[in-house]
Amino acid sequence: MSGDTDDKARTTHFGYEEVAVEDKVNRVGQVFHSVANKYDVMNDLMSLGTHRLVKRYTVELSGVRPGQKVLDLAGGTGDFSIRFSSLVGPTGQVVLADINASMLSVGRDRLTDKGITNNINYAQVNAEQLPFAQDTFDCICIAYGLRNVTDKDAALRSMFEVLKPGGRALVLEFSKPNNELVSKAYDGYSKLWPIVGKLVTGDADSYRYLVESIRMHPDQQTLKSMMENAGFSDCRFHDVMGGVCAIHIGFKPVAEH
Amino acid sequence: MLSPLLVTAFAAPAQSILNLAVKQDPVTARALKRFEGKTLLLECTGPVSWQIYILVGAHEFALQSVYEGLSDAKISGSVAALTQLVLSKQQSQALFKGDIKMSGDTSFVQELFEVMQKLDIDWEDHFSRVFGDIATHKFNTMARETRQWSANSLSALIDDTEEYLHEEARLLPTRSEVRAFSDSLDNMRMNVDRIAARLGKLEEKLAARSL
Repeated sequence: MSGDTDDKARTTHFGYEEVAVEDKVNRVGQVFHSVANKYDVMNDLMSLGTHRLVKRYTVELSGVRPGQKVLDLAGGTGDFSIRFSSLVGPTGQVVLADINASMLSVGRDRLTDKGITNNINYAQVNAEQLPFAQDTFDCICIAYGLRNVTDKDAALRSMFEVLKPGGRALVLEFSKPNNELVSKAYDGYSKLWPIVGKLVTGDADSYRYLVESIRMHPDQQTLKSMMENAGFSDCRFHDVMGGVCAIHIGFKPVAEH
Repeated sequence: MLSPLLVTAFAAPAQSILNLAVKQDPVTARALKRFEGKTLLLECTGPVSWQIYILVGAHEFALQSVYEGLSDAKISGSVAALTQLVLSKQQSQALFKGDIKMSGDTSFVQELFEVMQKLDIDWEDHFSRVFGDIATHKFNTMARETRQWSANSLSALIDDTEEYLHEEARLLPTRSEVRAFSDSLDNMRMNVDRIAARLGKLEEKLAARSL
């Protein structure tokens, strides 16, 4: 069981709230069912558009090349899949995977509307138990998704399992600002998100959960250690915007196979 | 070093503009095919240092702040040197001049610059497809007249300002006055030099007689 989950009481955190382990998936599911249609608009509003740059930078760090197989885990509305699809080209393959049917549906419609159909597949999956063969993907990217997974360690182990030897996993997630001033400004700014969420999607609770889940997410060093414990080697992280977000990168060692 | 995220912020629109331009000239777009898969690292050494990778695709470019591989060639120089290179009319020759440093596959860089220099966008053709021939012709005539009027006005403004400063306000000397002053100064300097030389000789003679 994950470090953030209490084995005896079988509870885990849902934002600041303690909930039963089996309830978290449903609660997170409700959050994303609720926001799926306005997810991209809210991302732009909350990040003031900077999420586009961060995502572009993450894709640059992925080193994805034509012909490769990429798993866009917790891919939601398909921002990453659009980019990966053009990088892998017609000889490659991208799998847009998400646990949430509503998010996946929005992503699939969006990609289909853009004419991206020839090298993309969709899968509704639980990140903790990825239903793919061992050593399948050259690159796995999970962006703003690991935070919502009940058992993060299990998800990282599962990612490691389906990654090809020499393959690369990227975890883009909110993190801990490394400057007190940035931290205070960010705290103050993020308090506005539930209000904006209420105005745009009519749902303040989902965005309150978002703010709380960011606070509860492990910091850069802890996540790096979690990746190392899952088996990844050469783990490193890149702080983005003073640590508001961090991109963790880990590789599956070739020597093991 | 400039943050990679900031470079990404500039790279994204720059890439769009570059690709849009290339798309308008099918000949250049086709010529890029032979460089497909090659990467050029452009490095600015100052006053603020940054670097950007230019990845050449089949018909377009990708600009990235990071690249998880080795670039085929590298160009580095200061902002001034890189600007001079971009604005130069003979870019492939300018690569080997000034403060530009180049390493790696230099023939790739030279050929790429040659191809890009031939980029010729037929704006009139593209406009006419959207707005029609008559509207495009009128727009072009208007644009040409505006450009001519602007050039004439600018030239007249420069002439008038020059005349006011020289002739009316008498704040600055005219070119011919400066030249005359400079000539007389040169004459005076030469005369003084001659006198100094004569004095020197006379002093030598006096010194010889007194001995």
